[in-house]
Amino acid sequence: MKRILVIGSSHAGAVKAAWDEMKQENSTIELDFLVLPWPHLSEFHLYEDMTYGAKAPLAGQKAIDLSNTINGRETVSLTEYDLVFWVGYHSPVDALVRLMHNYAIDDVIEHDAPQRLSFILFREILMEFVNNCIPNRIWLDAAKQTKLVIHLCPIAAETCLAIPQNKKNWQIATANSRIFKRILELMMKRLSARLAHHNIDVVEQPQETLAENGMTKTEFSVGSIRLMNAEAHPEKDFSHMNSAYGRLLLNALFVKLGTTDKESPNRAAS
Amino acid sequence: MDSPYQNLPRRAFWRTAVGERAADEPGDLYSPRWKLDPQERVFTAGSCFAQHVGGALRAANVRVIDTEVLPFNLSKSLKNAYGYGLFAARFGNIYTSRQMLQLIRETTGEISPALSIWEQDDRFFDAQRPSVEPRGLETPEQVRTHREFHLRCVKDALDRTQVFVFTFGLTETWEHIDSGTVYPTAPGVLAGHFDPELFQFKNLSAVECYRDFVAIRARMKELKPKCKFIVTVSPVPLTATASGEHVEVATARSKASLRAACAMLVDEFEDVDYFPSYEIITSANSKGVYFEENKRSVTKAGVDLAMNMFLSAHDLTRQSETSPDIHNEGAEFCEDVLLEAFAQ
Repeated sequence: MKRILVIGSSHAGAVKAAWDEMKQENSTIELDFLVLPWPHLSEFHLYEDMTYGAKAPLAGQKAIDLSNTINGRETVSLTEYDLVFWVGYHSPVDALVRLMHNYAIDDVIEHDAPQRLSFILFREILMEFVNNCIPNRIWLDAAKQTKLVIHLCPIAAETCLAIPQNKKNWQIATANSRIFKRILELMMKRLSARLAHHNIDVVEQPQETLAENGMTKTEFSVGSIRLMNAEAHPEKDFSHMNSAYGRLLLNALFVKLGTTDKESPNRAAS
Repeated sequence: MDSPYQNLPRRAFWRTAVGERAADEPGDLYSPRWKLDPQERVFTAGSCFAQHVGGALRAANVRVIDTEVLPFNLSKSLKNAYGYGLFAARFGNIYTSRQMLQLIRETTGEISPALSIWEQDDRFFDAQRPSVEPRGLETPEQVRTHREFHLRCVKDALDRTQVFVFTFGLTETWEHIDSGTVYPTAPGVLAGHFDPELFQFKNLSAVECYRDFVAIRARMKELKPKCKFIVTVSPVPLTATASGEHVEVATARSKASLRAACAMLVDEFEDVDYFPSYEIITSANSKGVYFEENKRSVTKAGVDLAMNMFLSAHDLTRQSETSPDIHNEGAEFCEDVLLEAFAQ
């Protein structure tokens, strides 16, 4: 039996929905969830002793939300698991899209933007965006003791192109989809390499979920449900994904687990 | 008959104001002519030391103009290395009054600097601000495009200015012989190459600095008739001189000229105030304690002393530690430090 702890934000809803459909087929895997939507998630921290969760007892709606996770537990020890899967991890993509909207960039994008960047500076900024995604020291220490795999927040679904306040950013960023996808690829490659250096693995967004313009295909966003109470997200929600997406993600994770899984030091010692 | 000195305050006498002052006592060196209103939009420019002025004002939540910005969540070291977050626009250090005037005239289309693009190792640099793209740009066309954008930003900044703060840094500069265009660095230091047929050394006199600033003031007054001015002189000595004098003598000549220009401006114009950063740092009372071991760079304590005195005199207090990622001139973004590479 492989024990996996899923942590993260509302984006873990896709994984939870998928797991509800898949768990009968995967009797050798056990998934626990300790996930909370924003802003409640900010109450959760990892501590030096590998305990993850709320420092103080949660109250009110937070406690109710939590009751849908792992039997109302507010903390877990990462040492209990073979693998920790962090879903909805901070992604540099939104920052990239805002940057491309606000800046004309030599050799990348020309438009009527309020600011301008050289290509060299643009490249340095991307590297900072990537570096800003490296977890803090406690997480880096934890990754030496337990297997940590992350999945970034999914790229916005094409649905957002129908929403005026989001439309322009993404239209500009994806106007030249070849360049946009190339930039994403380079950023992900760099981020994966940086995280691998810290013994952290990445499950990238499955290729089949990506549209030609680099955004997530609408079909993987339609019908997404909230973490709690299985309520549907609003029809125009473009950031949360559905169980079909979650299923692809879990399959990718299980492949990774099967092919790259190593006994974590804490398990080997027990 | 009473002596005209009879009823003067203690600050008017050397013995009581300096001789008997404790070494760590900053003294009552600055009484502003008018108080800066934090709601007024402030344009900052000048030599490396001016970076601290802008930083201190930002930290006090004064509305410091910044027309070229990077996303807020990037590191200050990256921003500063590319000339962001230092001045009202991304023009880098402006060491001389002549270059400041030239930039303003360029924004109005009155002039176009000569030999405006310099090349180094197949990369191209804006000769008027070669440090803001440390590795240069790929083509001359890109330099021109960035320059056009930058000038729009400078113009925007000038249009919004209610208080113009300028730190005079140097009198020594290099100019294009035919046009009189001046540059922030000598050709060949950061990029380009020095051709004595094209460029010549220029050491601005006190009167020239004064006249430059009078012209700057006139242009600012055209834009904003109520515009006010704060001038100061950087206490940082020259890294090198091309004057033929000993560098210490050249520094004294340069700083004295700049100080004299400031005095003439303050004497003539009610709307010009002088902040004595030069005097605060170089005070005989401090016995050089505000300089680093190289006797040139100003220590963090010195910078803090000067800037806190400025803020306090204007009834302003620091709300945050917003300043460039540096705390002494030696580590600032100063092109003239590169001249040390030429020292034998």
